[in-house]
Amino acid sequence: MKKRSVNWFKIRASVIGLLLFLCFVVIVGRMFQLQVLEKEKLYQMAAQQQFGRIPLVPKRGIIYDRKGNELAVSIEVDSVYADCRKVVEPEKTAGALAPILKMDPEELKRKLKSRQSFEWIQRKISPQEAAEIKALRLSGIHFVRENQRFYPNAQLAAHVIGFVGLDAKGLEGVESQYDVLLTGKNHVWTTAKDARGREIMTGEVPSDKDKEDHYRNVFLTLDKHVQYVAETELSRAVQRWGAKGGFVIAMEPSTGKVLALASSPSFNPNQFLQSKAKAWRNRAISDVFEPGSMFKTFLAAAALEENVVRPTDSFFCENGAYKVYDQTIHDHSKHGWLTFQQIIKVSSNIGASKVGEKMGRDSFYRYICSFGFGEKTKVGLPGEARGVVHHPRYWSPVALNTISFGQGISVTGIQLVAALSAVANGGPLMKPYVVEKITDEKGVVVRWFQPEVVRRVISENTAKKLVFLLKATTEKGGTGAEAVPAGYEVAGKTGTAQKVDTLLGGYSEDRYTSGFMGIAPADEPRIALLIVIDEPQGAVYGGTVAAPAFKAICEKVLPYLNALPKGTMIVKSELDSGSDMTEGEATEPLIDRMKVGSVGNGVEKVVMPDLTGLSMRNALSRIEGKGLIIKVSGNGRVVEQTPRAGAVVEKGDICFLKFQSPS
Amino acid sequence: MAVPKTGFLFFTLLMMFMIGASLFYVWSRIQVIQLGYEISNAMKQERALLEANKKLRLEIAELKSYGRIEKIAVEQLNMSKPTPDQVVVIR
Repeated sequence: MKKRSVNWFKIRASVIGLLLFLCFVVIVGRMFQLQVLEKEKLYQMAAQQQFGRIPLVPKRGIIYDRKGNELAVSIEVDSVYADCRKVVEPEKTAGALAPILKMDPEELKRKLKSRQSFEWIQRKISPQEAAEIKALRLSGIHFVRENQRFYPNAQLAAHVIGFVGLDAKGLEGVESQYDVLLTGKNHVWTTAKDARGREIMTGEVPSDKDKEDHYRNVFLTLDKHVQYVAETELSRAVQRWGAKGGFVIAMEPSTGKVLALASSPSFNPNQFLQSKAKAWRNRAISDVFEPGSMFKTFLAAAALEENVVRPTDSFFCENGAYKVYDQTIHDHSKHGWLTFQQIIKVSSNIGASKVGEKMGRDSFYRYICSFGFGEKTKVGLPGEARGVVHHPRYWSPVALNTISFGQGISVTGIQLVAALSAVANGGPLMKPYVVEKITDEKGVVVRWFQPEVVRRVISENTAKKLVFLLKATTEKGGTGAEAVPAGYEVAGKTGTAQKVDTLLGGYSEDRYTSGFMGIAPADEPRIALLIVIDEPQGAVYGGTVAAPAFKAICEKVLPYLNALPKGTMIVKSELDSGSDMTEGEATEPLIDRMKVGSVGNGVEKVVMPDLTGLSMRNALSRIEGKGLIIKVSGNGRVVEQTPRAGAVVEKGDICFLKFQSPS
Repeated sequence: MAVPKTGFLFFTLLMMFMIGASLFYVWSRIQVIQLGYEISNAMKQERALLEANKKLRLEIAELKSYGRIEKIAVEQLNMSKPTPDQVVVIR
């Protein structure tokens, strides 16, 4: 019975207690392992499963013209990649994908069999292609959104805008110059995912501040319309003359804003790889060339400012051949005595070189530098050249003579336009610029670029005199007569320069650069325009090749810039509902009610009334006091009048009235 | 008899309240998750719509390109540039 004294209950209890304790130790140990030892690894695994990280592609700012037209925009497109480990049947997958993406099936198969977890199939595919592939529901084929740059206007302003590469980095033009500002931040958007991989929002909804991409939009000074006209007319001129290329720069002289900058040959930035890299070069700022006679403008400016010549001073032009040291300077046609004004008008090289001699090298050099030649204009585009202007110390004995008519000096187009604008402005040289403002993604302006005066080059009085001289160039008998659009006055200068023969040295006999630069309208300049045609065939003179293009551009651009040609009919609209009237109905009754209209600022202009059928007394009383010079013929009642009714006339204009008896 | 009955009633009510409160808590959590799904869907939709809008704007810009307009005006509509005397400016 004593044996029964063993207390089994106690033993069982202790055994169970021990077992439980062991279990507890195991659990604690496991917990220690999971929570402490492998914490980092497991935490990461969980996060990977629970949180989806959606990489948001950095957005890129938009490039606008000055009126807010989009020139370059980014939109998201799909790029397709394969997780090759999850591709079930590489052959079948490749067979299905290849025709949609127009790829080689063999190469695709090789890619899919590579066992890589990430392999690009094709980047930036079209939405249709993406939809077709998505519809196939292929396993292991995934999409990622990438930003693709689009240039909706194709080649318009391609050289200014530039383009971006596949990795969204700006490679040329404004895209490259302002790359840092245009590029947004790389974003990752974290969301929680449930067991089935659906997204759940937890915690804070990302605020607007988190969503900010910090990209900037760039507004250019270019005007889409002016740019389009410049490009069309340039390519027309280049084609017409079988030229190698050319460029056009249009600038607002009072501010230095570049309104248009076109270069030929051009390219389409949407498919920039399909054109030769040569076509990407922005000739207007990167190419240096000898300006030829266009440079006489600045000789004249210097000479007038220094008072070494007056427009009426005469020079003997040696009948077409003038020997200086060991070289002979020729004129295009022989001239005897010419006044300084005529020298500019007929563009005499000999005359110009004599003016240069009178001026002296140091003084001339000072003005050349002062006009900004030989230094970059800092227009804000990559690849700008500075031109070649040597110090007089290194000038050859004839250099002063040749530079006077633009040989032996190299400039860029943008330098020429900026210098011409200084003349148009009445003296101050403005810094040319292509970017007007930069805004953030909400449209708030972060930076305004204001017109900047570099320095005053000549006095206002000199500028006025010079414009007067340049006006003569475009008058009848001047070299630039073909540059004048009807109803405007233009001040300008032609230029024809032999190109330097790089192979043989010296100047080429048959390769020329022909140009025209001018300001219009001459008295109230809205635009300074330079056109240069490289190696035209058939004709070489700037007055024949480039001047007509100048005229064509001005004709289309000046009315747009609110400079109407003389003789434009202006009707004061007193009806808001005039739109649904036919043209005849709308204009006729309005002409009678026309008031004095003013075109441009300051100059008061008058609208010509309809005088037909009036007696002489009545007709004259209606137009007297308006400052018109009236010429009459015949008697009776008015049957004909010039200018016609509705045309804008200025004080001092001649008005012809033809009268006839009603018999 | 009356005292234990009151205690029991109190206990029952307390339990019911506790159960009710926990159910309410669970329901609210489910609502939060449900709304989370909705928000994330709405945000996805927002992104898609913004992108679609951008694409449409691009298309507008493309259709507005002067080269295209001029081509249509000249070739299809037989329009031509007016000569200066055909222009009447209405102010």
